[in-house]
Amino acid sequence: MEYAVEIENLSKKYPLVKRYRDIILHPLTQEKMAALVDISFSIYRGELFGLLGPNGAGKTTLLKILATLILPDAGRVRVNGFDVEKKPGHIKRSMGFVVNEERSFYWRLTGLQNLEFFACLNNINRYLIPERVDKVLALVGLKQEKNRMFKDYSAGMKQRLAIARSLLAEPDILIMDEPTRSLDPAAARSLRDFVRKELVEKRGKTVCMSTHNLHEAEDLCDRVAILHKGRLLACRSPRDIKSLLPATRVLEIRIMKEGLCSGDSVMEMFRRKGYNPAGLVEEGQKIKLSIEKYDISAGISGIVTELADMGFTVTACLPRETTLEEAFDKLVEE
Amino acid sequence: MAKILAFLKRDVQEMLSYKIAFMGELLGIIFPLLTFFFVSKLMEGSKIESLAPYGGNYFPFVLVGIAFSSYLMIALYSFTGIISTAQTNGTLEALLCTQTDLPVILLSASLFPFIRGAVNVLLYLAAGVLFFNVHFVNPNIAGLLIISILTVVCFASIGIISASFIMVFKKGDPVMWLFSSASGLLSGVMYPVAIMPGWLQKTAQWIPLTHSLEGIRKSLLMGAPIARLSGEIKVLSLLTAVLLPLSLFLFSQAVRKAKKDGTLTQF
Repeated sequence: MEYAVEIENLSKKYPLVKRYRDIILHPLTQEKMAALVDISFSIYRGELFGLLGPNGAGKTTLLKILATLILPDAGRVRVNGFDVEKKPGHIKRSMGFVVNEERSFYWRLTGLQNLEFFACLNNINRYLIPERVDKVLALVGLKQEKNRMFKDYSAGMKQRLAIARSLLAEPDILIMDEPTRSLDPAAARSLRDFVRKELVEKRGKTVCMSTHNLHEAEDLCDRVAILHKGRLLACRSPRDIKSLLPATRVLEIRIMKEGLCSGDSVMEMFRRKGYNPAGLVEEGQKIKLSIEKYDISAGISGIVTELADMGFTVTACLPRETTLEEAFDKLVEE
Repeated sequence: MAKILAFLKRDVQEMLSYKIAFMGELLGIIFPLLTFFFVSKLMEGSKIESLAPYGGNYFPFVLVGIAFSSYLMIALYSFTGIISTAQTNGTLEALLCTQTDLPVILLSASLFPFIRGAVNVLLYLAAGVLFFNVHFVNPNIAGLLIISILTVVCFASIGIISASFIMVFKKGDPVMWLFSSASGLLSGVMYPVAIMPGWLQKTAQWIPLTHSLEGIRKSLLMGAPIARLSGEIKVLSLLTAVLLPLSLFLFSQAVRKAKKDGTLTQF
């Protein structure tokens, strides 16, 4: 089977909470809000797949549907070949959901006691539980900390224990809802490495993760799906998504300003010439700024000459590749 | 069985980690008993007709009423408690992602409150015998067990109906409110049903706890044989036969609705 997850024309609406007036005046009607609208895409086996989108885009709803916690209204969703509505038990056997909620553990129990409890609920034979728990604790680097109460774990350790829990049943597919959300940069980087190198590359797991962090998605994911207001805007590799802005680049310029002209007047001069300046940084006589939506096919010699004519000494003029963030902004804007 | 034990182990580990609360709970048994012991002292010497079917003394009557009604209330409250606690603590989502179905989670998680409740009943009765001079003469243990089991299943069914309500509406459960309030007032926990006006006595017959306490007192205080308990056994069997399948059906519908509305783990 080629696909780990297959989603066809998935739609989901949530009922809105009624006001007292509506309960009395319209007791039988129910207003609904669309969370997902006609979504279709698939995730390959062994792929690290990212779900991107602003708040309210429908990422968590989609992940919870995959985890069989929410039922879809329309469409078809299969995880590991099993339909989420008809075979939730089969799905739970082959998929681990990394619940991004530190309260999803028992705080007064140790990490070990928590994992033993969840291992039992995952139908692991009681004679195999110690070995399996030990294995996942070692995998996430918490073996030394296993006898500490969960409440005494750091945010990074809690997140690692959540991953360990999801690995107890040795699932092929892992679903993660913003796994690096509450981590500091070092812990987030360590977790990203673990997911990419250990889970995907070494163990061949399929990982589907949602994130707000576009740099993280760009670095980590094989493909990403961009959701906005419940609709799928794109589903490609980060490189392909960036290529949606083909002829435009960002040009980073560093100049020495002459005389007493202010940064604002420099920006105004660029605008009058028809450019889109942004990100102005002034350090004494040095000015750094970006020209957005610059047509790189025209080359940079023209703008350098123009800047010299305007009286600036150009110290650097570097075309920079479009980031996923810029492509994301453009897609959402459109 | 392994899952039941896993829940039990989890609950014991959690309970023991809150040491002061554990000690406080033990003391909580003694204080209400002392209160009713002194109330019963007030009544000493006076002949109260309505207490005659239960041996004539108020303290054994109220001791059984408090001990068993508190146990039966556990059956009523434990299921909603399990769901709402797991929702507010945030563990429900993690539990639902395991390979264990929600009804199994619910039943396994309810075992600890039931065992704790049973220990409390034994402590109540032991305290009554050891410190307050209560005597149980020839109690009918078999009858007591039959009545208790039927009552627990019947009350648990009501508890599951209540949990279904909580699953969908989250708060303000009328089932629980109606049953606990009416049971406390009308079913003869603190005073015999016979002292109430006729119309209230008739209303009390619709409440399962009335029949439970009547059967338990008859078997424990008077040693009544099974034949004399047949009325209570029939009523409780009938209620259980209706309420148990109804509660399981309502619960499965409530879970489906919560999954459809996306509110399964919300509170």
